[in-house]
Amino acid sequence: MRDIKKIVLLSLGIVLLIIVPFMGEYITYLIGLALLFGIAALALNVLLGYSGLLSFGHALFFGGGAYSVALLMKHYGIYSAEVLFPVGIIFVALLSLAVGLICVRHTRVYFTMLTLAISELFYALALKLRSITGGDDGIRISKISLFGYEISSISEYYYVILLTFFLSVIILRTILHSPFGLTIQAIRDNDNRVKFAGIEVMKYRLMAFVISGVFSGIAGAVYGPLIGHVSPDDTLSILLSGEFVAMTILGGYTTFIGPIVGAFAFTFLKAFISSAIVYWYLVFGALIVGLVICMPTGIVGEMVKRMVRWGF
Amino acid sequence: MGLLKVENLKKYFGEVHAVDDITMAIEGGELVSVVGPNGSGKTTLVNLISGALIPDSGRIFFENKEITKLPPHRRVKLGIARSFQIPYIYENLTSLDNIMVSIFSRNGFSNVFYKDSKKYEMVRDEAINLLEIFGIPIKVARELPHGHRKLLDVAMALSLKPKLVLLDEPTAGISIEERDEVINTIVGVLRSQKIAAIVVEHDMEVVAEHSDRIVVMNDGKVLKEGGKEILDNEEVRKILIGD
Repeated sequence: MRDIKKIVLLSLGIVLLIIVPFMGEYITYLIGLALLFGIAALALNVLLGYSGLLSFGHALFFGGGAYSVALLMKHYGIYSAEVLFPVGIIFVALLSLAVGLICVRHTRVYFTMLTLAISELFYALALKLRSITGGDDGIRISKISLFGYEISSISEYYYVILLTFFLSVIILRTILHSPFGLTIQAIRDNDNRVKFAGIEVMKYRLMAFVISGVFSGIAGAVYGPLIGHVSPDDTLSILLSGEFVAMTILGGYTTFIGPIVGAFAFTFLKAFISSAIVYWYLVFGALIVGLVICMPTGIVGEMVKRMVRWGF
Repeated sequence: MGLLKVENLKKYFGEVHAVDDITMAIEGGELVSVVGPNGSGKTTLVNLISGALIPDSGRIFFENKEITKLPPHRRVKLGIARSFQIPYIYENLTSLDNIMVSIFSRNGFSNVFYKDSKKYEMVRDEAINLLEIFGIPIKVARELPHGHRKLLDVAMALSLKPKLVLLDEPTAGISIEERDEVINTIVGVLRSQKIAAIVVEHDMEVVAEHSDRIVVMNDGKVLKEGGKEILDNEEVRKILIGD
């Protein structure tokens, strides 16, 4: 079992690293998009799957990352990724700390409503502060460079995305398999009992919230230059928050890799179905309904269940 | 010097005087049983000492430090742990992880963001050892039978290596055949690690055999206090067994 897993991961790594950049610009773009959504869905799952908190406002952190990069470009003329991304991460860390301090005092539907309301607040700000954010037109991103080298094609930028993805996955996996990761799962299962194990619930929820926000922000920061454009509807909308939740549930929130699989399935389905018919959200809605009824643990959750049944 | 001191503790729920002016003290390593009919305030007393409830009036001291209004997690850090009447465990985690959460917390590892394999193995070994002492298999907690769930709850409290542990009916729901073995195991750990305990119990034989002292409660008050001979007191028998 271990060996099979290793072989699968290794071959996936080779495909992503060597083959994808030569599959044509559109496929490379789509995979880059799926990788970034994968980071965002993984980050959301730190809250949903591991902490038992459903955020319906995670586009706020994704958009926070995207806008901090875009605003630095527009207003300060900074185009170096090595400056933009770290500044974006720091901004999102502060943002998620502030939002987290408000939200983690509550759980269940109250937590969900708070995340939704606060993200809507920022969506409205991005729309209305036209002189700073460009309103609904957003901000165009024309170029980006890395240590003085100007990145000129999608297949070059793809490697920036891939590196970000690998680093994020490794860091998140390490965090979730650590004593901290176990502690937040205990809080998810019984947030009253953990107090009698000497654990301060709010502190750990806040840490999980910030970790989740930061990695959503990282995905958002890298997203802008890929799309070439940052707008409220693309990066801050409630629709995107919902899509992150959908990806996570589609892939399966009970496993670590589920959200990545969900992000890939979602991105490709959306691209292909919306190029064939205009009613993507009709198909998407039906898909989610079917999924929740037939496979509540998502694609990966279902696969694991079947493999256990077949005796792997 | 007493380990725990409770002074004039009161907790009312509307008309119900759950705990009504209780004063008591417990020495280090002492095993005290609290008995009494249903609704006599035993569990409320445990809730007040562990911090699950804050008293209406009165004060609680632990090692001469006032803890009356301290939140539960801070009391744990001082050395007070508890188990629950109905197993209160992390259902989706394995029995091993249930224990490890407590040991990580005790060692201050809970906010470590990576798996230090040496420390991790140490904690794991300690947890496995404790599971073996209690005869609990390593399994997802929700799949364990009631007896094991109950023991896991107690083991989670003891893995914190407290100075004082509050055990709320540790043998409730455990079959009569297994009860002796379970209580012997628990008392064995308490005695060997010199952990003081307040044990809320129904089973009179268990109480009589192992306690250093027995406290009989009725209507939120301490009715009698003393050695096992007080269980023969007529007034006590009337309350506990009924007339």
